[in-house]
Amino acid sequence: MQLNEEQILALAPDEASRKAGRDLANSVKWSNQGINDKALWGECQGSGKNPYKTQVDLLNVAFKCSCPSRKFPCKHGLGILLLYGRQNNLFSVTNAPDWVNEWIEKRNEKVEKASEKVSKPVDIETQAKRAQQRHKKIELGIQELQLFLKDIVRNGILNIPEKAPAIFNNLAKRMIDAQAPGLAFMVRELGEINYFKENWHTQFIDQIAKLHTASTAYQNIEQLNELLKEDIRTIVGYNRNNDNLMLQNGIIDHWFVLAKTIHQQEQLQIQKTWLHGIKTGKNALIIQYFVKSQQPELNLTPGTIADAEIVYFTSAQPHQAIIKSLQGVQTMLNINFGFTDWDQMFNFERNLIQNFPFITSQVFLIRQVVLATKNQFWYLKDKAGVAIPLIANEGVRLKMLAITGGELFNLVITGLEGNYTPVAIIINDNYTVLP
Amino acid sequence: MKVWEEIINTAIIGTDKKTINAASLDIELQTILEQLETKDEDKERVFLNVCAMISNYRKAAFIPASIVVDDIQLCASESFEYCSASAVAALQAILDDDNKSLLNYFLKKCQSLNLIIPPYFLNQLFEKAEKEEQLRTSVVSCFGERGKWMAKFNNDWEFDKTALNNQDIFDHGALEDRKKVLKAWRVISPSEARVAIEKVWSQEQAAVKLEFLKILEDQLEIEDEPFLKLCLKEKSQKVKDLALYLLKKLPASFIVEEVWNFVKPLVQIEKSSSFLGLINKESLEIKLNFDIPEHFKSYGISHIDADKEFTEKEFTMHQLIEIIPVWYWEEHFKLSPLEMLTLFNKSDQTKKYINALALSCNSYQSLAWALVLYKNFNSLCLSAVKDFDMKTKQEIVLSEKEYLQDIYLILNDEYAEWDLNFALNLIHKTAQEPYIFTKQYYRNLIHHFPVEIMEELNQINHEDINKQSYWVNLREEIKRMLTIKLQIIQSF
Repeated sequence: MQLNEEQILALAPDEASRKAGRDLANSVKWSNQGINDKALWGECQGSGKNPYKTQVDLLNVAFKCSCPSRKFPCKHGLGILLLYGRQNNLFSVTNAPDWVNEWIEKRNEKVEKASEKVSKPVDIETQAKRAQQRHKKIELGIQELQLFLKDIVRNGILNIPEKAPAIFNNLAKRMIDAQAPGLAFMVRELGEINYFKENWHTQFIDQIAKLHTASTAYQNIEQLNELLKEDIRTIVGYNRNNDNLMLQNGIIDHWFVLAKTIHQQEQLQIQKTWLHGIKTGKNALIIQYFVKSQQPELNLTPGTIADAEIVYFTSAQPHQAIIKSLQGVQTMLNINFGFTDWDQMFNFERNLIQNFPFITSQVFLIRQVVLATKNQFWYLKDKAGVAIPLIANEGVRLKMLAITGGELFNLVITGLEGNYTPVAIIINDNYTVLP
Repeated sequence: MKVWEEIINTAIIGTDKKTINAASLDIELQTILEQLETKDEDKERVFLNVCAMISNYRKAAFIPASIVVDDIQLCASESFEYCSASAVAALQAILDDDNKSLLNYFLKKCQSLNLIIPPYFLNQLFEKAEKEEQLRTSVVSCFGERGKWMAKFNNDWEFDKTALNNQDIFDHGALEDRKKVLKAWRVISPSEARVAIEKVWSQEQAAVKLEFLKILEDQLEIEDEPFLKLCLKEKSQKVKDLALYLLKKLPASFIVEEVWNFVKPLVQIEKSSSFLGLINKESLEIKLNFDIPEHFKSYGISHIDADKEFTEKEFTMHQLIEIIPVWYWEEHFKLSPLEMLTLFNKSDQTKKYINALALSCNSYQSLAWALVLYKNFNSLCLSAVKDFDMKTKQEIVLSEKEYLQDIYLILNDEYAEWDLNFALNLIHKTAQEPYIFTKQYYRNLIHHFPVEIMEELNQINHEDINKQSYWVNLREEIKRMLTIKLQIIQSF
């Protein structure tokens, strides 16, 4: 697998690492570098007496380095990957040294153990009692939430901007006390709305409608089918059990990595990776949580193709999934998948929303669009001639122009309901992240 | 969507004062609304049910507005090759370091090999060229067809077009832009630049006039004299002073000629013989029993020396000699600059005027006189040094700390790489003053240093322990920049 410069730099934890990594992508800094089908390694002379031993797991991109840095990946990891991207002739294809083999073996063992993990026997009676207690707590919390929502709509939302975010943060804390973290998160989102924006009313009403639907659905959960029950429990805040999923059969496909985002929520980093199955045409979202000083278990690079088996969480609209096994990663082939026009994409989105009202911002790949203009506004036009507004700042727009030169291109976008922001451009098999 | 507006209006006012006007909804929605209302008496709950239902309905029913858009013209295909992947990596390193000096070095390499920059760097390069005018030519030469095409989408990037519209900019642009155009004109055609100023002169404010006159200092020519004479009648004292200064710097101007005609008879070569007439001696005699014409005072000739170094007459003579172009002496006495200066240097009385000759040499940028003054009289005329041979210029740079600081002015070579010996000597000297020759100093000059110097840098140390740590940091910075330079060299 060979990643391009942008893909490698997207792995960096911060700008400083990106810069330092680039500085280290210089052959004079490295010795004993090598590669095989599993790993890439090398020794980098730092300020210490002994060179740092740096290794990269190429299958499921992961890094290890003997340097004292607490960043993942460290600058040496980025540096060696960048150097390989630029001058792969400097890396001899050879057997890995012991220190690399040991690490790769350990990683494989860990993955195997994870897949073999069987849930321990539990005290069913205690568990049921605890579940009952939690259910009661959540119901009480929901009553409070509904009272709050009613108060808001009774008095009108005109003065909400003056009260936000304090009133929502307080209510979110109450939802946490009621053991409904999912509802707490949705309540907190009310406080994060930009009330200086002209259309905040729509965003606000959409969100309280969502809270109302989720809380009412939980009150009526016994009337729902099993799939929806699972969805509503998840939305309210019950944890999903990954271990059981690992025992199920998944879907084996070549999964194209559409996009990856990382954002911080309190002490946690949340990484979302959007996949598209080339054979099955299914989409999947992998969400991983990790603390800042660590790296996620799985680190797929946008623009690559992961040969993997994935298992969806139980849902009326299967979307979120886990990767059960990863056989290999390839660089991109010809793009002959994704939506061929906007109409196809909107139909798909419509179905999603109809089946599952809690759907959030999605990532889509649309093929063969072109930049177009009208009255100084910019549009993305598909082959059928349908154009939607381009929502991008001038920097992104100019970068899109520079890369495409006015030619047709494949586009990865994110958004919902007509508001789509470009994420990446794929042209001549090159995946370029847009800033 | 009308129904959504109705929901928003209701939500803003509150269900206590307003309910949804069912009549405003589509029939299908009206039916659903009736069902929701009958299920629950609580109007807030009914409203929340309606919000949830319509919100989902709205999202699922999104259809893009139909709009006919204009296709953009396709970019022409490139006729030159892109630079290599390793060169791209080097360029990225330069941009990350925001290193103007190395960027220029890189672009010159591309330019010389007819290579172009890949499209994804264009935005960054355009932005840099927008801010740094001296980068524009190099950037334009390396951005290929894609760059030309991109420039059409951003007026600030149309550097070529700017050149075509110089007259327009001079007539209507901001002062700084007008000055840039005027400077460019003055280099290409000094007369045209002056004519352009004359055309707009009467409409300009004194501050603008002053700025335009400053530009005339470059490439002064005798054709400027009538205009400068007119400027002496301006109301603004600053404009008058500057015009006078320019006339005093203009060879053959009426002021220079008047002064020369006044001074010429006062300076004579006296011949005497000794040793029974076997040895002839020549000496210079400067007569100081003169009274300057009254109007010379209007030329700024003063008779009081603040430093008390000269007598009143000597001081006046000193100022008059400053105004006279040095080569007038050569032509008048049929002597070379060295012979002339040797004569001046013969007696204590005439030696005093060597400084005036040096000032004149500096003003009129005479290479022959400047060389003699530097080599024989240890007097440096900075404005003339740029024409010296490189070896002499390097020698000058290394001779004084202040010349090390003025290195650009003295060497006057933006791009050439220095020989290892000079570079080493320079670093040995600058390293002793790490607080004066800081990181920025080396950043500006890094492309001149040969990369071979990297190995030698570790040998350079500082005796002062306080300065040593500062120097070590600087040394690492220099090495880091040289590594990028090495990367560039290896990429082409």
